[in-house]
Amino acid sequence: MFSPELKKGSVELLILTLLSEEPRHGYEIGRLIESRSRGDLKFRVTSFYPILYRMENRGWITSRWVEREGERRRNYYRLTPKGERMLTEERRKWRAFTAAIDLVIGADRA
Amino acid sequence: MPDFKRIVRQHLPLPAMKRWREEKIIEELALQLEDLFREAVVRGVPEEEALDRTLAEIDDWEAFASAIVDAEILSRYPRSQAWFDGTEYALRRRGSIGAFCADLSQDVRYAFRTLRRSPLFLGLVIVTLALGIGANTAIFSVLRTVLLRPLPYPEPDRLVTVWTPSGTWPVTGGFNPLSAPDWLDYREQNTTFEDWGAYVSQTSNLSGEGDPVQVGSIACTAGLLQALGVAPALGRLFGEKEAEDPGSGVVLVSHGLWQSRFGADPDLVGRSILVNRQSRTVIGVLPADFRFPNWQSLSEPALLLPLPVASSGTDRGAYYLRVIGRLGPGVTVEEAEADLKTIAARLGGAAGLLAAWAGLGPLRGAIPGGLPGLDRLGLDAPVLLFALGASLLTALLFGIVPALSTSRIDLSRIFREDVHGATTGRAPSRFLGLVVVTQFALVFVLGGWTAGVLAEGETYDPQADRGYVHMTCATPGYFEAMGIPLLQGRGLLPEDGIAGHLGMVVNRTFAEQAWPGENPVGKRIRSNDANPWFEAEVVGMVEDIRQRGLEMPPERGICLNFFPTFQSSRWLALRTSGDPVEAMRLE
Repeated sequence: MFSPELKKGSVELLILTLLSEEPRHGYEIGRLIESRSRGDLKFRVTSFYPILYRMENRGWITSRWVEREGERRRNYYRLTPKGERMLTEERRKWRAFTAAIDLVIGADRA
Repeated sequence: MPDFKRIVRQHLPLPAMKRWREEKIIEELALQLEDLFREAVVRGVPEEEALDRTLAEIDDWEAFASAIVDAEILSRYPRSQAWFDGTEYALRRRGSIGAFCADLSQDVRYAFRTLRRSPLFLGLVIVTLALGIGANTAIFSVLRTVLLRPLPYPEPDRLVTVWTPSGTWPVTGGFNPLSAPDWLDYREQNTTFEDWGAYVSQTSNLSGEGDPVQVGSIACTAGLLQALGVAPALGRLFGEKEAEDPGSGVVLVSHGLWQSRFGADPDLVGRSILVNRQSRTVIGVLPADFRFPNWQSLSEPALLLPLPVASSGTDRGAYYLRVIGRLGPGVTVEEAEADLKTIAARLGGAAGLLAAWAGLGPLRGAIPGGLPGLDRLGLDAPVLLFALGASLLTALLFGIVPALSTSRIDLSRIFREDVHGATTGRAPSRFLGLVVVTQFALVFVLGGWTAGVLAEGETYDPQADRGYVHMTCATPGYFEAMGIPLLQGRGLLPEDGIAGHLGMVVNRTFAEQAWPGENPVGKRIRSNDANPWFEAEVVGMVEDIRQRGLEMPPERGICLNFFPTFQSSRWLALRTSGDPVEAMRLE
């Protein structure tokens, strides 16, 4: 539905937002993005995980294996303090960006 | 359920990554695929189709791997590190040689990083390596200089030393020097030596210009210099007549002394210097590479003085002249010895002589501590190369053994919870045992210089290893002067030195080991040979002293009366009532 470029620009913000709520594993993040966007946003494994790993390597998120009763162990990601700062920053940028786009395309007139 | 972990591992090339990181990624992606698969199956998709759909998620494994590697290495590290990792990744894609290079560079950088993080350990490693390589280089420099390098004389295989074979009474272990009358008789009649000469080593006091110093010196006959084939660097050597004339007053100066004391003065030849307060004319300077055979001191003899044998003594029992000869062309050692025997038969009273390769001299001299030619000792390229090679070999050897034993550890067993720890088998500890044993062996070889004796109660057995004891020859009064307490019996008396009635003092360690709980006085001790060269009765026992230094335990020790004839060097122990330096000034 959306072009890969458009989605790529936003996926970091989506991941940061979902992880700011609670620690989640990779499959769960992907599923949540899909369900909350009512199926409009869907990421392939091949594009999603490299982004996740890059964020981890930049120190925005961190992960560890967690074992829960009756479940397989899962790699849970959570925000680092740096990730929280990034989330605030990215949110602000996104709002400014969409607001600017809206101004140009006249969203309120649609 | 398909084995997704295996599928991911098989398809996803993640070469330049830390092992744990790679494992984590593989497991996470496998879980992701498993979830997708399960989801499809739950929705009613047949398993086969569900698998196809799941795997279709990853259309290009190579590109996926590349993206992951980029995410890993480009975001985390500084640029230089990213460059290294990028190069490494590129190398690995070029086959096994590339992978080897990449491994190597990764290991080297890992080693440096680890070392940088622990400076104390790094310091220890550097000090250990420096000491190890340094000590090895030093030891092998010594061995090479002393033993392996040919003697620095023309045709060294023609040089032999001549000895008086031991009767029942030698203390120097079977080989004795010659007496002056014997030497003169043999010199007259010899036919097998092209040149031969006698010498004694001594110390001389050098005074006059500069501070007075004591230097090692050699008094020798002119024939000795000819036998050795010495050519002076400056001036000339002394001739036969000059050497025999006690009043000739000439002296040869070593190259080292010429440089250190006389500033390499080219006009030194012809000048007079004071040797033992006697004025002597320098007639020549020895060449820099001249090395005196069998010299047992850390520096070369600084002076060569003439030895007027004819006027030195008539005591046939005073064996003090060391003799070196150059065999005539084509003459063998056996022929020379036969000739010496013929002369002995003709002379009657003279002691029989033995010839032995001169090469044995330096070798025998090397063991007790004096290392001939040591002042010429330098770091030469072969030795340094040897040390470097040895270091590399050691690194390989000590690296391979642990590596092999580690590779035998079953990692999966370690990670399984029911097994605590892993074992590597017995082999590595045996290897370590071997290393320790070898090191101890080296210490014993270098440290062993003593005599083998048989204590009363032991019987001679050529197969038995009785060990060695520290042997001292001393005059009566030695223990008192040294302050060594007498525990039992008495100290040495002059009559203890009479052949056939030897008296001997043992130390506590010897007595306790040989005769535990018994009184050692009156017990007998003999040398541990088929034909013992001495036999003595214990007259007293003294307290142990640490002959080899405070860090070494006391050795078994015995002390015999002093035999002036056989000892070439003597030490004087004085106990003064006042300041010992003042006492020395009194002279």
